[in-house]
Amino acid sequence: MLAKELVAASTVPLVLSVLTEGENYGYALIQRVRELSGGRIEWTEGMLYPVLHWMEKEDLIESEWREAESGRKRKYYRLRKEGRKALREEKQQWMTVHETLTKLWKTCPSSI
Amino acid sequence: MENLSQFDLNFAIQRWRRALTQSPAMQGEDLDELESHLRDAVGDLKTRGLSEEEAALIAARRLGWVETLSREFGKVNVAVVWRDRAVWMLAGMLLMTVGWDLSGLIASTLTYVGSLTEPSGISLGWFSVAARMLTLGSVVTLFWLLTTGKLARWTTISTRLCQHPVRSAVILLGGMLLIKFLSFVFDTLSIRSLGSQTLGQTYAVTGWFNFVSPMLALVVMMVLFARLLSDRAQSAQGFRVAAWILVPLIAASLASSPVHAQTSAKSNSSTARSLGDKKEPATLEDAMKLWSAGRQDEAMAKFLAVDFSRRPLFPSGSVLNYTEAQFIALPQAARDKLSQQMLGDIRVLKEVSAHVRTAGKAAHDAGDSARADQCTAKLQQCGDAFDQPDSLALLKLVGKAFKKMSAGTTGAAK
Repeated sequence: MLAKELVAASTVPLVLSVLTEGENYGYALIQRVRELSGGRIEWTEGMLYPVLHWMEKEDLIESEWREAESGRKRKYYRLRKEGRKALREEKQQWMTVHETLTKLWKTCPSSI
Repeated sequence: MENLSQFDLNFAIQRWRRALTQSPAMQGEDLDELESHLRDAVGDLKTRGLSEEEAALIAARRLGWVETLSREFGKVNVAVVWRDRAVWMLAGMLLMTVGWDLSGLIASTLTYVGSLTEPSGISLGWFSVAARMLTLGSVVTLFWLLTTGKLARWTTISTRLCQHPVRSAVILLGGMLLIKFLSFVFDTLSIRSLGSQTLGQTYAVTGWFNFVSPMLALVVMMVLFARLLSDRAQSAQGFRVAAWILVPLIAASLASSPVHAQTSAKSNSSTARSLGDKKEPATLEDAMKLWSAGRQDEAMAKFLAVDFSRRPLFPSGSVLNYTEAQFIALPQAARDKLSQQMLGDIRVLKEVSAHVRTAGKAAHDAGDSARADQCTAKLQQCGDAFDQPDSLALLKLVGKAFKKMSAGTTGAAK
């Protein structure tokens, strides 16, 4: 189980990254993340939607209601140009943190 | 084992949706999305072997408790949440204003009706207070019943009102203006029909009430507020804090209200008196009435305040206003009848003037020359007013007699 703050911080980059694979809807996004993380990242499902709405308000993503074959309506999200730009920035920030930490952990194997 | 009641997914989802609609933060579209998620989750869980009911339970629980959900959505839909709160705050203020004005109207109406029976000022004041308390009590009870859900029919009216906001606002505004206008009308009528002393007594009672009742309303509101807060947070602390705020408030209002009631009663009765004076200048008729009622000193005081330059001297319709020519023109039967009235009035006038003359003499003997002069002057004015060229013959005689009387007092002074 990840720490709450980490889950919160990683939500936006995760959503943006999954959407680069193509447009998707809320439930499927949650499933994809869970699948990719091997079950270790479990989002409280209701919490995703306010984040999605916020991202939409920030013009990072856009949404569209689509009707599936079963007749059920679903809200699909896809990435916008600003979203791709934001994702590039996020990637930079995360890689910075990752590289710094990896360096530290490599050079001091005994302390871990 | 079969369940007696078939689990209906759609019904359960409807119920779940209704629970979420309670929160103003969730809009229709948000709920649609959540519902779609819920159905996907149920479908997923069913493929793992769960029954529909179990799947629905778990899926809903995974979606998050209603409160956390609405809080998270509320963070995003801040404007909507505050607008909803503002609506409720305005509704509360509106209800208070309407309730107060309506109770005022009912009190004014009943006071006016009561004043027609010429009661004492204090009982009229209490009557008005009782009317007001009854109305306010009914409004509060109605509101309370609404919150406990016993008046389901009224909520449909309110939703219909909300659907036509402009029309409802216009109707409400018109209604409130009408209430205020009618209150004003009845208050003015009451002032007109009551004597100033009665009016002052009425104000003494209602003034006290108008001071205490906002305090009382504050107390009630704080108690309700504390109760509601404590229900939510389950803390007796809120209640205790409210109580400590209220105790000094209550004490202060109790301590100051008799004093306030007195001062407000004084100011109110003096305004009432000045109001009354504007409408009731001293007339000869008043003096005569008081004399006939046996209130001699008041009669004299009134007599000394009469403005003898005002015409007509006597109430309209009194035979004493007639000129001699008019009187003679009447038929014999009328003249006979009116003579009786004339003689009666003349007798009273003579008695009053005699009393005034005695008082003037006594004042002069006691050295109060101002008083003596006042009595003399008034008698003189009265005599002049009566002794007009075309006055009734009898009145002229009386006037002449008065003038001689007043000369008599001055003669003694000289």
